[in-house]
Amino acid sequence: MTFSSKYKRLAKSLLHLSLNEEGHIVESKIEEILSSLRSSNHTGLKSLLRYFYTEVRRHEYTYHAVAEIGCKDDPSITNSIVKRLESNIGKNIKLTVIENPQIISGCRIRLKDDVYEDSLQSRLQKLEKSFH
Amino acid sequence: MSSITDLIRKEIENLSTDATRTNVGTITTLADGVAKVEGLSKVMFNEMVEFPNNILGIALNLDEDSVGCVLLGNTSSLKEGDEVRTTGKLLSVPVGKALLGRVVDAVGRPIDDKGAIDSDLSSPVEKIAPGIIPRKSVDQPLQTGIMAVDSMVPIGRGQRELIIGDRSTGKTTIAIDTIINQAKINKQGEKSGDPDFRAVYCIYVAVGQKNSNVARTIKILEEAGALEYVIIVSAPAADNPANQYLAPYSGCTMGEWFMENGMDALIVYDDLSKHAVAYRQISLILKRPSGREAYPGDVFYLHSRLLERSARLNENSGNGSLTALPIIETQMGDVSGYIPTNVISITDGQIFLETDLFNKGIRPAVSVGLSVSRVGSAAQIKAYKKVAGKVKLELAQFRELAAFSQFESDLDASTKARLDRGARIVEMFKQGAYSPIPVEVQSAIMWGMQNDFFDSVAVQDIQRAVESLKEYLSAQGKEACDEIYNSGKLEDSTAQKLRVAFEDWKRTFA
Repeated sequence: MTFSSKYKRLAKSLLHLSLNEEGHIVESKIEEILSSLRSSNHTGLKSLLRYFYTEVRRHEYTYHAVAEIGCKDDPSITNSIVKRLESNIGKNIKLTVIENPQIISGCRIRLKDDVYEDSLQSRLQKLEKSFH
Repeated sequence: MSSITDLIRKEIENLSTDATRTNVGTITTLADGVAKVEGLSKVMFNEMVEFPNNILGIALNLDEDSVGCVLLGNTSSLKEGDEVRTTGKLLSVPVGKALLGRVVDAVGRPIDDKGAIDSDLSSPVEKIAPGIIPRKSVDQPLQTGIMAVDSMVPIGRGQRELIIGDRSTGKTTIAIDTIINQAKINKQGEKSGDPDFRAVYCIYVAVGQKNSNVARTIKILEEAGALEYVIIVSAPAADNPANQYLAPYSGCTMGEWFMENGMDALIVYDDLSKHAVAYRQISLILKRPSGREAYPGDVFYLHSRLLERSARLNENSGNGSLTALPIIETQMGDVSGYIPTNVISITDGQIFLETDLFNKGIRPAVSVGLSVSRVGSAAQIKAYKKVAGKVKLELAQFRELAAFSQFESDLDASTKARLDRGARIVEMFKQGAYSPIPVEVQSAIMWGMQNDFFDSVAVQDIQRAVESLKEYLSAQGKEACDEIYNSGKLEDSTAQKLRVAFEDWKRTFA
């Protein structure tokens, strides 16, 4: 087994240890893992941490949605987005809302590798493409 | 003005305004026309993906945690962290008759400054080859117009005949000659108004060639009046390896359209050695395990899946055909190289061009011993088969005897006769570039050779005699040639007319 695949497996196990019952990453558990790794003086610590970072980031994408909206943040809209997404993927999600004036109106939500888009910007882009 | 506003209104009305769901990823590394993308969890193999600035790519490597994509455009505007989207589509290229006379790139975009291509039809670049049921044996000839080829290694419609040889031995010339001959036959057939006439449309795929070479080929075809029947797909050496890898598949898709729609087409892949090199480049950058000569393990499949798409379809499937003339460049005449042996084993024969013959002035430098057509003789017209049946054997015997006779001072009469006949056949087969000879004229010349009409002509005068005979046959001896052209047979009455014509020509030539 190569070192990289060994570290990948180890990083996956560490990720598993840092999750709560809902499958969300717990910050305190991550800190605990990091401090124990530091104290262990592991030889391939840098590589292991890189793989661990990738795993954590990738896992976070599975329940952390980022919504870009064209207008000011409205809690009612945010709540409806969260409810809809939760019903779609069947688990609790975390939502970060970002105001993006380039969207003009509507919203663009990224969850995992999927982008749900219903914005004026995307419609105008579609229209532009249809003229080519 | 109102028409413009109407157009915009119509576009807006037809525009889908539903929310969209797209699978996306992020570029993590970008090098040499290949991008590693993280994400794209739903991407399919060979799916077209969209990079920023409308740059397209193809997903070629689906790894556990990343996707390897080859890029089909200028990558200078892309950077790490850019978003990549799936399109749900396989890469497609425009197809149809609108492409004839045009020069396009590997993805079917025009590069000849003649405006947009007026075709609504498109077809995927990667397709499964026709199966066993829709196929039929090769039974119709595809005349190259080159005597040495049409007589010794005849090609049939739907056949895959490899043109192989070292650099500068006339490989491309044979392919261009064949294309020019198809254009001549097409024009003649269209002029005759024969409802049974089947035109052969041509596709010339230039892979990894110098732009100047491609431009020269276009000029030759234009001057010969053949460009109107040809589609040129160009992925020159300056193009990225992804385009060079794709170009033969794109050209094949364009040719397949003719085949699937009951027409005949000819495709030239110039050349597949460079195609294999481009694929090796991509595979190494994608970190695929490399094998012999650093080529990836599936380099055989690369060419077999391409060449298997050339076929002759039966009547139930439209009766179309796609003939392939792949070209392979050998190094120092070594036909046992990795890629040459692969392609030799895939194709239905090969025309091997020898450097020594080329340097001796024997052009086309077709090697009699190493060239073969496995299925083409079934497609040869009867008249030609009758006169050219023995020529390959005679020429092979001549080469063997010529080698031995170097050490012999006193030769018996039969050996001398064979040597004389062989020397004359070699001279007769010498043919200038881009001057194909119609099959009926070829048959007549071969008939003359078989019936000893050239025996009294000195070997050094044979070429002059052939030229003079061609002129004579197009004027006075036209009747006999027309009979061969119309019936495809050489009846006794036609032979008698040829005898009279040859005797008359001999008097004028003397």
